[in-house]
Amino acid sequence: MRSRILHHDLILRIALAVLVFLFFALTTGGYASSGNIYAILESCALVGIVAAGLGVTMLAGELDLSVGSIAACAGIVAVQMSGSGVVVAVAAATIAGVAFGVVQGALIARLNISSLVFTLGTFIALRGVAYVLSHEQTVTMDLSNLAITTALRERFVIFSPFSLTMIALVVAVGYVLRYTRIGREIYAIGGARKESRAAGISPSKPLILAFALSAGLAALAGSLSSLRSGSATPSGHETLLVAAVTAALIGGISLYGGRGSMSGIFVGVLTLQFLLSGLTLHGAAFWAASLATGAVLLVFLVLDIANGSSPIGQSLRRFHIARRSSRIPRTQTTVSASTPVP
Amino acid sequence: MSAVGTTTVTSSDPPKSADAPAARRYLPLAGAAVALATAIIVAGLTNEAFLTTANALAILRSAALTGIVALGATFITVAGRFFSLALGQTAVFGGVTFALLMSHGAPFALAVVATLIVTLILGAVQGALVSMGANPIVTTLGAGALLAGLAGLATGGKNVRIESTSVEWWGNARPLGVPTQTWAFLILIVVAWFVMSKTRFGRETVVTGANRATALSSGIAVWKVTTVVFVVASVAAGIVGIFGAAQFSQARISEFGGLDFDVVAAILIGGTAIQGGQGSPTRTALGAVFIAMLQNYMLLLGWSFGIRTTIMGAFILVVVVSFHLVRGRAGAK
Repeated sequence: MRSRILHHDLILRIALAVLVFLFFALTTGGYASSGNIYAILESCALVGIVAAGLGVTMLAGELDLSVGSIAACAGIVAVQMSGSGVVVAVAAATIAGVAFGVVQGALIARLNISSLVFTLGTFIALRGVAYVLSHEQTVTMDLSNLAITTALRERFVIFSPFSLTMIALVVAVGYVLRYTRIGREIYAIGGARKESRAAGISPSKPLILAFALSAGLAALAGSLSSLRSGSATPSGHETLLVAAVTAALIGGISLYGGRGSMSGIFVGVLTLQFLLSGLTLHGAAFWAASLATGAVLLVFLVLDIANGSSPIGQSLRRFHIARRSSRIPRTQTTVSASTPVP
Repeated sequence: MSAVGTTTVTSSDPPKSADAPAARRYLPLAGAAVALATAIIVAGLTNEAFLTTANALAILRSAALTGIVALGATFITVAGRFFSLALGQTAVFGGVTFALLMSHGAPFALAVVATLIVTLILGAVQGALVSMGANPIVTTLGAGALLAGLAGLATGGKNVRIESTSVEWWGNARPLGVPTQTWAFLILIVVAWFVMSKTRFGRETVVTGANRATALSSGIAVWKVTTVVFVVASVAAGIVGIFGAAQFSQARISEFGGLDFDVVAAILIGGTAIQGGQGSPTRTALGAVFIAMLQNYMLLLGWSFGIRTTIMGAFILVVVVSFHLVRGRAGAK
């Protein structure tokens, strides 16, 4: 029953993505061309990889605000190391990201501190580190290494190595969440932290995994995107956090934890980039992306309030159940509609 | 690894004598003042450009802008709703609104009132969302992005010039040798202190932050308190937006980039409990002066933007974690 509801929810979200795509495809010339779809998928890759990691922290009932700063740092490291080849550069940046995420997750779990507050500190500090690493300048790749850029931009019909990486990663994270024990634990601690602890789940391991994934994936996305463009700026990726949260919310990942899936993330990222690409093709100015992202975020935030385990969401559900039960004539009239309040 | 929660330290040992509550109440303020004084002495001894009247006024002026917003934002934190990350953009939007009204010939007073009403509405909308149960950080993050877009939409991405001598006076005058911004800061410290500790709304804010369930069951309209604290912070940001626009006789949409972080730092260094229920605007004001001093000192030492930002972030982390450990309040989620 529950899975059917979630399924239904996802179909609605897919329908929204299709609608947005169709709207722009019909009103904007060149929107549905393979060149533009390739470009949309390219922009999906950056936001999608980051949203996949950030989404895991949201599922665990937390939020990693530091992803944008991590991506900026990773981009600078990767460009500076591009002389040693793309694999080494990306691996170094990603491993550093994962290590940082493990420490961050362990501290948040150990100290039992709000991740919002803790990651706000690292969000600021790592932005500073990005400036220190780059000596306050845009870092560009050596001309002799530009083969990396060309390789990363290679086009297979509508796909590129970057967007294919994104799809593979979303599938992999989705698999871990769905079919492994620790993946289920992430859902459990996100949906009901106290109840899951009572059931014998220690939140430490799932939290560490969640923050390691969000930092590692942000680092991977940041390094790939900088290598692809051949340069990295310390002020880069400032809007990445907002975009990733928006994509996750569009995809139905709840900020109250425990609800949502990686397929949702994929749909959410596509919807957001369909919209932003359409606006760009319509000739919108640079601030339009910020305006649209902010507006969409707030709309889906309200939907999340109505769906989620907020007081309003709970009373809506209670109302729903009460109405349904009053319609069906029954001998047993007591319907327990109360969900445990955290 | 079930060690989560072992950090819980039994806090708030009951007061032993009759005058203990008063002592306990003023101890944090005294602590903050001593820390500030020590910092001034150390900075003065290590850098001779630091302890000059001109530099002190410069610090007070930049502390004023951060401080006014931080005074308002203290109410959000005390009410248990963490922070707002939209205040910098609210200040920008307020400045743009003010400048556009002025450049279209509106009288000064009308432009100020209209700007404050606009920021009041912005705060009310965010506060209403949060009181419905939305995550305050994400709500304000979204609102910030939206406001950045709206400011771009309203100005076409260009700075808005103001041609007015009275605006210039408000931005740059120094009555009795002290900048107008600092006067406003001093007055608002008193106002914020009064509202927080002497009014019904202030008490309700504290109770709501300390224990939302208790506040609800004792008849406090928690949604109203939540909405009003966001209004207070938003209007404070609007005031700063007007001052910012007045100082340069133009509204710039790239202004106030690091404001949100400085505000958070000022509140935290002032010792306001991050889980709410505890905190004082007076200490936040000291925190703002401390942050402005720290920034100024690092600037005088010639440290780069990157190092300064790293230190600020690390500083916030250290403060947050130490207060968390000292207070030891579990259930931080």
